[in-house]
Amino acid sequence: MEKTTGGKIAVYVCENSGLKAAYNCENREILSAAEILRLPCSGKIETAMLLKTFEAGYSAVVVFGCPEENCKFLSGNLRARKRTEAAKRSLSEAGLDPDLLAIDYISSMDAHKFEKTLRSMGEKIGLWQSAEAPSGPGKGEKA
Amino acid sequence: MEENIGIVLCTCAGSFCSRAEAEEIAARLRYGGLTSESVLVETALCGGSDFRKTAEGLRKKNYGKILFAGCPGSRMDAVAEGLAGAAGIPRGAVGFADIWKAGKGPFVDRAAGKLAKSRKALAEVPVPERVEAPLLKSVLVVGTGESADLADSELRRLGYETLRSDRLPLSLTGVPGDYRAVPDTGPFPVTAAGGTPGAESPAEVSFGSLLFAGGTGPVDEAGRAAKLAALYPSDKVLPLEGLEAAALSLPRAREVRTVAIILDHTIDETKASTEKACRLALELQKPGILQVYLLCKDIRVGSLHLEALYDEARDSGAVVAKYEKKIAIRTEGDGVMIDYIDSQLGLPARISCSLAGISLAGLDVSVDGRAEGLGLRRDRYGLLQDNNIHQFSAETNRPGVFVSGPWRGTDYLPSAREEAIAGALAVHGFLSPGKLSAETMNAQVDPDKCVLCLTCVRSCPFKAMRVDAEKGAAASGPFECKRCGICAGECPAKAISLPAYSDAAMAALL
Repeated sequence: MEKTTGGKIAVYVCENSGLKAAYNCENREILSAAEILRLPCSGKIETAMLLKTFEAGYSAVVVFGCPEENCKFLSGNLRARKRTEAAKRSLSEAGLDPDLLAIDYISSMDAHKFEKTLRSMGEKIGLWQSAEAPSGPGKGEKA
Repeated sequence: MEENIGIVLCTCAGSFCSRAEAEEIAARLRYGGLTSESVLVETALCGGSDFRKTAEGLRKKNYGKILFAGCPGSRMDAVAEGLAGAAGIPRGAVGFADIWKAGKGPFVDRAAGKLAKSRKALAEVPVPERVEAPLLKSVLVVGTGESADLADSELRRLGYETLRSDRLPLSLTGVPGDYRAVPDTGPFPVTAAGGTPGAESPAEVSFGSLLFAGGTGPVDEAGRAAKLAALYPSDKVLPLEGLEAAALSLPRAREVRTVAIILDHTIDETKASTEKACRLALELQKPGILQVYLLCKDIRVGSLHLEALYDEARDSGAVVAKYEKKIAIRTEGDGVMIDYIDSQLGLPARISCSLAGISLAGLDVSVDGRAEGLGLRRDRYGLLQDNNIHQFSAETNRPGVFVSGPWRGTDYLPSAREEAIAGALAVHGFLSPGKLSAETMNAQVDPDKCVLCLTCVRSCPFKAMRVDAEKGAAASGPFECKRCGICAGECPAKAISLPAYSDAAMAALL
């Protein structure tokens, strides 16, 4: 597959949901574009940490937390959303596209949702064109 | 390299990497400056074949920390934990490197790079100590009625000393004086503090655990009827309790009279009130002079014999209709007109009937005040225990405080009985080790940075944060803290860090 840029997506995952969804994800092309960083809870994410991730050279950042009312730590996912919003505001103040930062709530079985979110983020940063976005497991093996 | 970190690569036939690849990764790491002693390649640890040997090997090597890399999968955590335990390394000193086979560039290079980064991150993590605190073998049971009695007797049978209180603030049975529950003193047995000064009662009574059980007492029917009368000032709209008598004394007529039973009017119905409504529908429908409509939002029949009763009521001719959102009830002439949107058809519908009975929901669980000062979270109905699957069935957000029965929303008596026993067993599960034990991987506060804004105290879902008067800073309790890092994320002064995920450790991974 042709890639237009060499950008990479930093993916902060909650150990209880996002990480397991990543384990279940079979789309190698998507995984290859992602640097997966585990957190005990999405509520651990800090605004400064999100911004630092951009500084470290990542083109986009995605945070995965547990579905609402399903957080192992009761309110971590809600707080993660608040902080992600704050970081988005900072990004737009700095003149960057706030859409390069996203948060999604997924359960451990939602590998397809994990894939979908990362795919659309990849499109946004020009990792692949939407028509040729990797869609199934094993596709990357040929490439 | 100064720190003694062992890297364990687990390999087997297919998944993470092949033996040859693992050896190559190890070689690459050694080339990067690690000693050959510190990189181990093991085969199929999840299979258990080499487990004991590996653990023995790890123990001999005397590692301070272990970085583990294996198949991506939930098994890995358990395997690594087991190995570290067998090798005498604290759980907090075990790190994971999540390496995916897919990726840009040659796998071996990438894996070696990620391992080196993860090793750097792990080096930033302090080695935890283990702290312990004794737990008292006594339980405070709060509540009245059958539920509390059952839980109490079950706890006594299990060998615990119990003390009863029917309310909060506490009035301890057999101990004079007014007490309030203080969860923050000591590690966290719940303490009842207060007492009447000068009297013979002790100033403090401590417990290992607190169980809320009860509320199966009689409900305030008069109060509920008054509420309904204020809402619908008509003798055609009644509380469910008075419907049967009114329906049977309706003047005789040629045609069949219609009676509506309305559920879910104020809040979602419980199983108890559903049972009552189904039984009433059956009673009224049977003689053949009345047509009963059962209006509900979502009928819950998942309980002992309840579904059979529901089917019986429907078989007898009662019509069940489901409505969504609000329902409009007004008296018109000789009867009552009910307008609603049928949730199955998606269409507006109207029922004209002679009488309407409204169930004002069976829950009589005014928990207000009972959770006072304990920092317990409530669900959207104000009941104890959050609507969160991780707390089911008996846990609350405070370790050592459990809830069962009506106060968490169960008022169907057979279920409440079962829950009372389950609550007692949850307490037993908590107290039976006799002590609390934890590693000091809890949130750490830098006293120099803490400005005592108390954001962490407010935001901690488990109320693990408190003020350490000695240090003049906030501090988390090692036993209550569940290492989620919410406080670390919220702290405006950036004074709090989670040892395993400190800024330095996270930065090393980027």
